[in-house]
Amino acid sequence: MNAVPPASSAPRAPEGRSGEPWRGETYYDVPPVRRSHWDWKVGTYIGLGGMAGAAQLVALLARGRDRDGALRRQAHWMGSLASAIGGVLLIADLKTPHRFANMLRIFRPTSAMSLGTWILSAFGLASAAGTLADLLGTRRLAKAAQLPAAAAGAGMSVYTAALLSSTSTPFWAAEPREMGARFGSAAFAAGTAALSLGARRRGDDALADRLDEVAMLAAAAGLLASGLSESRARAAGVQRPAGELARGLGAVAVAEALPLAGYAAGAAAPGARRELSQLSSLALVLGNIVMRNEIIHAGNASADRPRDAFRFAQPRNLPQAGAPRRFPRRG
Amino acid sequence: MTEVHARARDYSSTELEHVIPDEAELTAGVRIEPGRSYGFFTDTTLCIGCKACEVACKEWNSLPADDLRLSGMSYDNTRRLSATTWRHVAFVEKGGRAGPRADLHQPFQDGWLMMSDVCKHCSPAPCLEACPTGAIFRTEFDTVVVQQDICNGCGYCVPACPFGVVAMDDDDGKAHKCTLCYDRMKGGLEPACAKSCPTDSILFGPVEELQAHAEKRVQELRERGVAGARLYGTPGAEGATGGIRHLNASFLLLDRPEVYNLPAAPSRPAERIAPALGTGLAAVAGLALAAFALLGSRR
Repeated sequence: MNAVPPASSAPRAPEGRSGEPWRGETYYDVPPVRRSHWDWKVGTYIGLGGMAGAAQLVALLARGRDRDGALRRQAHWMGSLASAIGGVLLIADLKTPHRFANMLRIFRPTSAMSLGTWILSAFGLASAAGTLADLLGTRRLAKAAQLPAAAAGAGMSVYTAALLSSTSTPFWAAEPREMGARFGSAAFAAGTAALSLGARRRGDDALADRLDEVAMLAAAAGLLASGLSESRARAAGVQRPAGELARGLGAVAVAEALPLAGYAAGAAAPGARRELSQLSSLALVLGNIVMRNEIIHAGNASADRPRDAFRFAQPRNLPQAGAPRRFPRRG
Repeated sequence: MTEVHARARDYSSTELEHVIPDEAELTAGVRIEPGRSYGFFTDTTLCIGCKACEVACKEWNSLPADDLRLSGMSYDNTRRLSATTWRHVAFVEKGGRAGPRADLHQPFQDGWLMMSDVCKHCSPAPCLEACPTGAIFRTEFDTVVVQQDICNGCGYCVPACPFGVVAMDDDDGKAHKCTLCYDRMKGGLEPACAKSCPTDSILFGPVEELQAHAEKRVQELRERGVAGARLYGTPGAEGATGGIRHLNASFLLLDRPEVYNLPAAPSRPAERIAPALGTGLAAVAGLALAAFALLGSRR
């Protein structure tokens, strides 16, 4: 019994197989990476900004049905308000807020936050110009503002996925592709749902019904991307404890599954369609913000788990060697 | 690198009127010139865990003491690098299969590992690439420094760093990390930690010279039968992976990197921007196409 086994009796590889947790040592359970300080402010901004960005894009696509420009006005207002509120939230998130303008010193394509600064600036400017033109009654200018607002809006709806993925936080870094599709779809669904709510309020049920179909499609795509995203993170070694996993699934249910079921029920039961549609749209709008906050939380929690960080930082999770470099190396 | 330089005779007095010009030449055998790459090579086989580097760093950089309680983590009461701790000596007591009191060990440091951790000054540096204000920049010595008068405390460099080095200080709202003693290097002095290291476990010098020395050292150790000896952060080694070409501060380790709280295969976060944006925009474009089909024309 006292014999010490020879050091060469090889134990199982500590990194385990795909989807298995880290079995090796940690350094007294001190996490090797640091969590971000982001909280509800950034999560809410990501939700609001993505929704407003997608709304501008959808309003442009639906221009053929936008007889009186109500859709355009709503999208311009959503863009202006989301940029203003989002800007305030982001500045409040800085630890030295009075230096917020330093973000405008440089443009750095290797920094998703720098990209986002310029996307948000362009989006806010285009949306505000559109709102102002609508208020002044210069319709041509308001219409002209739609294209840049929609282009920047598409950026608004997805750049935040790059913002989270291009960190060393295991849950965010493990699935950049899936996260991009997830954020794009969720923003698209929420933006369309917000436009649908507006159309219902204005009594344009025909347009709202069409918008509901688009929102349904986007929510279904979002649900699929969420599933892929969670399973990819797991395969890369993110081991969310049961409570965490329940939170994540709950957020997906509220943000995507429930509204999808609501729209489907509405389509099946024409009598209750108006009410079900409005409820589902509201669930998409609010659920979008809930889900983004949940993803922020889940990432921060994964950064606190040393085993997740070690398991993620294994050679098998590296991007394929020899893959083309899309971004110039800086620094 | 430890032989006494001929110029040292010119400065025999302990009282000096001025800083010795190019002092690093006397203490590290290196003349510090702008335009060259400088870094550290930390050879953990030589570390005796004295923490002189931690103290010298705190002294020179006027960093406050942070948590004075005992951690219960061997002799490591520092725990990790932070905004106010830029050198951290890790202590690993290896038990082996028979527990911490095992009396049968390999002859070479296999039971107690010590390692002085520091900012890796990566090339390319993820914190620098993430910084949206340009506060983090690469110096003329190829080191990575946070400019305190520009940092606005966005905190993006903190999760970007694959090694958990950069940290926010809640007292001043800025990000902080090792500067590789930028101010000392400008004055021709080697960094405080390297100068204070009594065993030359921490070597300071031009990166390519350090890398050559590291290769020689690990070879020598392996020939002596130290099977676990490995490099971390030199080109092609662990730590220099996923788009990170090399670390200006490299290490010689005696066990898997994780044992020292280092990731085995860190990756460059900026390479995840294109995949995230690409699939995101593709998803949005697909949905936009469907939306246009449903909404584009009045039916």
